[in-house]
Amino acid sequence: MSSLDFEGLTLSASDAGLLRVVALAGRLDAKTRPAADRFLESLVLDGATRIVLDCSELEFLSSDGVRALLLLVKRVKPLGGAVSVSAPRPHVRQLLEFSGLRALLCISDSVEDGCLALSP
Amino acid sequence: MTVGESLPLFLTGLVFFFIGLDGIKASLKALSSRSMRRRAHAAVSSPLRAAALGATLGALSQSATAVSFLLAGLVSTRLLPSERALSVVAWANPGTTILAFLAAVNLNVATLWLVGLAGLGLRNRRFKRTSAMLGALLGIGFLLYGLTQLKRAAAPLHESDWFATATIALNGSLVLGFVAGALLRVLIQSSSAIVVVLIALCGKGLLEIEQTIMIVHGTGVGIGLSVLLLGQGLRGEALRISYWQAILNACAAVGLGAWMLFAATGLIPSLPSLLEWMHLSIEVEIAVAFLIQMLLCPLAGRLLSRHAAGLLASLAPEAREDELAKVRFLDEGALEASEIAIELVGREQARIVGALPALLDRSRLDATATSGLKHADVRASLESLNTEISGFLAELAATEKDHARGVQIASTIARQQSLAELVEAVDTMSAVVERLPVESTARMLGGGLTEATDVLVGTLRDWLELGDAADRELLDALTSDRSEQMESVRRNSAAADFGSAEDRAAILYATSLFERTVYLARRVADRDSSTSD
Repeated sequence: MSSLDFEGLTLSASDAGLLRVVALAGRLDAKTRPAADRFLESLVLDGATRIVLDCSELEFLSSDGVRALLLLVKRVKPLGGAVSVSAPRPHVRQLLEFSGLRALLCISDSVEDGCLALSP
Repeated sequence: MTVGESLPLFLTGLVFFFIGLDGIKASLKALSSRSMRRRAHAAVSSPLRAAALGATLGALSQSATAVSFLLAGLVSTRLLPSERALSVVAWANPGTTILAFLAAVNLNVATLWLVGLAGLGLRNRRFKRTSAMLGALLGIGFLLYGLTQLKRAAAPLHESDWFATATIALNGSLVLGFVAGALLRVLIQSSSAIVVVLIALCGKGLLEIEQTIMIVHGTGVGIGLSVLLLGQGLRGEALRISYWQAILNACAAVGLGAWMLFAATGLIPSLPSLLEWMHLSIEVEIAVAFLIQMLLCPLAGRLLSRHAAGLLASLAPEAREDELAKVRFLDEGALEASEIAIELVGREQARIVGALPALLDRSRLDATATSGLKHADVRASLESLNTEISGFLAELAATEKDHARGVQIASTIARQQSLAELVEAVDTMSAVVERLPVESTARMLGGGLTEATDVLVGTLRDWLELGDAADRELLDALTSDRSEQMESVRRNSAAADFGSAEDRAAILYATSLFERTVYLARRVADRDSSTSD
């Protein structure tokens, strides 16, 4: 299990079968995006292509955060992978929907639903 | 005139000065087409022409300050290259000495004619095509009128007994005379007017010739102080023009002042003693001393020219907003190969999209993502860049003979129009969201629209800059039709507990603008794929 704690954002990754579950807590914004980008990139370089993002503890998501998620989608898609955003708080969900990400990743109500949606 | 009368006159003068300054800038902006710029560049194409223009402007306006601000306007609207403007400014100084020689010139009447005729011309529809030029002339008229009022307000100063007493007291000290000259110039705003008064006082025997000339030298520092004080709102290249004027006048004044002080030791002859050998009248001696000082300005400019760019850039660094207003890739040579020209326009358009996030700063939910740029300046820069690109495309379309290429140019023009509309939609939406009460439900929702717009324009910029198919794929999803989604937001926000009627109306408007933003972003992205085919 790998993790990152940076300026109010915590990321911790764990295996769930063929999937990788990443729990996000705190704020994913312009300040924390570079660290999040690097962490998520390292997961893909380690071979993770189906990634479930547990956003239940993610308090704030900004446009930079959304762009970090878009970059992750851009990285895993050519590898046949997919990304799920699970259990987002209402305003996080709202921003994802406003941004049009529903067509690019799976937004689910719980981590279990997210894992189910991404299971091969 | 009493203080009670001169104070409102002073304020009126300041107001007219600033209205004139704004009017000049606004009108020059409308005039700053590529063809007009070529003509303006031709007018200063050689150092001699630049010098002639400077001296003429100085002679006509009789104010080095007015010429500085006129040129600041010309440079900020890119009608004149700044390096040539520095030369024009330097030569405006000797031009202003004409009044000292021809004290009878009545600038007031000429100013009133200028304001009257330009103003009436603007009201007449028949002169609609020249309205920008007339607007600039009216601005110059207001600026000169303002300066005239400032001078009138200061007139009681040199008519009053205490002024004469204070001036005579200066006879005791050359340094005091120099300082007094600087202060008088800041107050009276006309070196030539001061020189005319000094000629009268010296002629009456109230002032020694050395003191009189030292006061004249002090006015040089005063010109610099005036330009710096009045140019507080300037930035970038326009501010550099002000600094240049201040530096040149200070150099000339301090150089001559130091000579006068050193000459007082008796080791070298002073300027007045040299002039005395020419057997001139005292009046002409003072006028010649003033002319020499003003001629030293372009000479100082010549000596400092190699270091001017570096010095001015360190004193007035270019703001990022100003840098944005300038085309980076489109020059005259780009017009010769339309295929490359379209590619270069694409890069400029990507710069516009790249600047859009700065317009969202005021309504963001994420305070850590603000650009630090001034909204009004970014908006003005984007408008200026849009005008530049549109003008370039119009010229490109007019010269293109190949049909297929013509179609590509038309497509690029359409994309430019969509971009201009996109800027408008993004900026208006941000303004609407900004006005919502902080921390309210409506503000959070509006902030969400802002953040989503930022995602959209960021991805659009990536696509325009890199042309990566993966970005295009993302963009297709991000620009999918949002009418149903936004309709649902509008229905939910119509509920009474959502906020005040104004908040609900604002959200209604913001969602419409967001829909339009998504639509326009799609159009810009689509145009790009059609032109790159």
